[in-house]
Amino acid sequence: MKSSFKLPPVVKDFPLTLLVLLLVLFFSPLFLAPNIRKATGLKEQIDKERERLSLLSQKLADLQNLSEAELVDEAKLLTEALPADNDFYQSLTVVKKIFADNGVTMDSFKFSPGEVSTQAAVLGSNKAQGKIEYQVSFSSSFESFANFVSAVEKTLPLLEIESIKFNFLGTASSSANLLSFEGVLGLRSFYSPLPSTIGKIDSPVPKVNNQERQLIEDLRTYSRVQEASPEAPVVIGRENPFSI
Amino acid sequence: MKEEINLITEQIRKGFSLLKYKKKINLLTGIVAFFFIIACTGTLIAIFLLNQSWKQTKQKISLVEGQIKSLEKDESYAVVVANRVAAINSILKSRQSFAETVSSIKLLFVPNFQLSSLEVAANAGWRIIGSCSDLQSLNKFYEIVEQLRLNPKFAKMSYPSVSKDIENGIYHLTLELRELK
Repeated sequence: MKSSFKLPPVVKDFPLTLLVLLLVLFFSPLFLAPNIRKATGLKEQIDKERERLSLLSQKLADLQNLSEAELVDEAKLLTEALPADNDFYQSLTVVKKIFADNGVTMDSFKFSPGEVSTQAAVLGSNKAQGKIEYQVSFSSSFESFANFVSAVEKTLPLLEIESIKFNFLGTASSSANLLSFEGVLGLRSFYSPLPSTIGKIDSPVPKVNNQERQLIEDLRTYSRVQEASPEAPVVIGRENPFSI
Repeated sequence: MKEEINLITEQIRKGFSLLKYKKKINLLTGIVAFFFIIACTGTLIAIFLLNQSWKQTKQKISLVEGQIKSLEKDESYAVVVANRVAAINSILKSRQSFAETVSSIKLLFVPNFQLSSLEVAANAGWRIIGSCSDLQSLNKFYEIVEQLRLNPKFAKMSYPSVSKDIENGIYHLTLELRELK
C-alpha cells in the first residue's frame, strides 16, 4: 500500500536551507538570546564594578594622603571644642575657671537637673547635638565683666552667652570702670555625640574645605580649659577607631 | 481551452520556481549558517572574557578594600574631624557675640541716670529700665541711644518710652530696643 503523503516540492528542492532555518529558529531563543542577555548583564555589572573600583581607588588615594598625626591633633582639638558627652560638671568647671581668671565672682548657679547626662542618656536616642543651659549669678566690676565676656567667646569648650541681666548696685558715675554690679548670666554649652560608624566603604573620605581649615586654625588660638585626664584605660580586644 | 490554461499555469509555475534561484538560496543559507555559528561562538567567547574581566575587577576591588580597611583608623579620624567641624561651624554661625554689646553698654553709664535693670538677650535686643530726676540727664541718655542706633547692629530698632512721675519729679524710662520685623 502506497502512502498518499507527499513532501511539498520546496522541501525536496531545498532540504539544507530548511534545516538551517529550523536550526536558527530553534537555537536562537534557546541558546543565542539567553547568552546575549547574560553577556549584556555581565557587561553592566562590570561597568558598575569598575565605577566602584574607581571610587575606591580615589578613596584609597585620599586616605593615603591623610596625615594621621595631623588628624589626631585636629580631632582632639575639635572634640575639646565640642565634647562628645553631655557633661555638666566639665562645663561648670570651665565657666568657673573663666570667672576666676577674669576676677568675676560666681555667686550661684542654676540648671535644669533633667539635662545632666547619665550613661543611659548618652547611650539612648540622644544622638543629635545638644545644649546644656544654665544660669549663673555673678558680681563684678564692669571691666572684669567685659573681659569675661571676651574670654567666653574665645575659650574651648565652646560656650554661648544667651542673655545678660544686670542689676546695678552703684550710682553711675563718669568712671564706669569702677562701677560694680551684679547680674544673672544665661549660658549655654554644647555637646554632640561622635559618629558611631564611618559609613559605607565606598563613601568618599570627608574633606575639610579651606573655610573649615581656617576655622580649625582659629580654634587653635582659643584658650583651652582642660581637666586633669585620668590614666588611659587598657584596651582589650579590637580597638575602637573612634576613641580619641 | 482547459489545456491552454494548464499550459499557462505550468509556464508561470516554472517561471517563478525557486529552482531558478537555487544557487543563490544555497549561498544565502550558507551565509546565514556561517553568521549564526559566528554569533553563537562569539557570545560564548564574550561571556568567557567578560567573566574573566569581572573576576579581575572583583579581585582588584577586594585588594583596594583591604587597603582601605587597613587605613580605617585614619578614616575614622577624618569622619570625626568633618563631623565636628560642621557642628562647630553651625554653632559659631548662630552664636551672637556679646563683646560688642558689653562695650556698648558702657555708653549707658550716664551721670545722674540711675539704671535699675538692663537685660540683653541673644537675637532679642535690649531692655533697659532706669530713672533720672532731671531732664538734662534724660536728654543725655537719648543722645546715647541715638549713638547706639547708628551702629548697624541696632539700626532697626524701635524707640524708647518715657513716663514722668510728676509728684516726685522723676522720669521713668523703659527702653526696649528690639529688631523691627
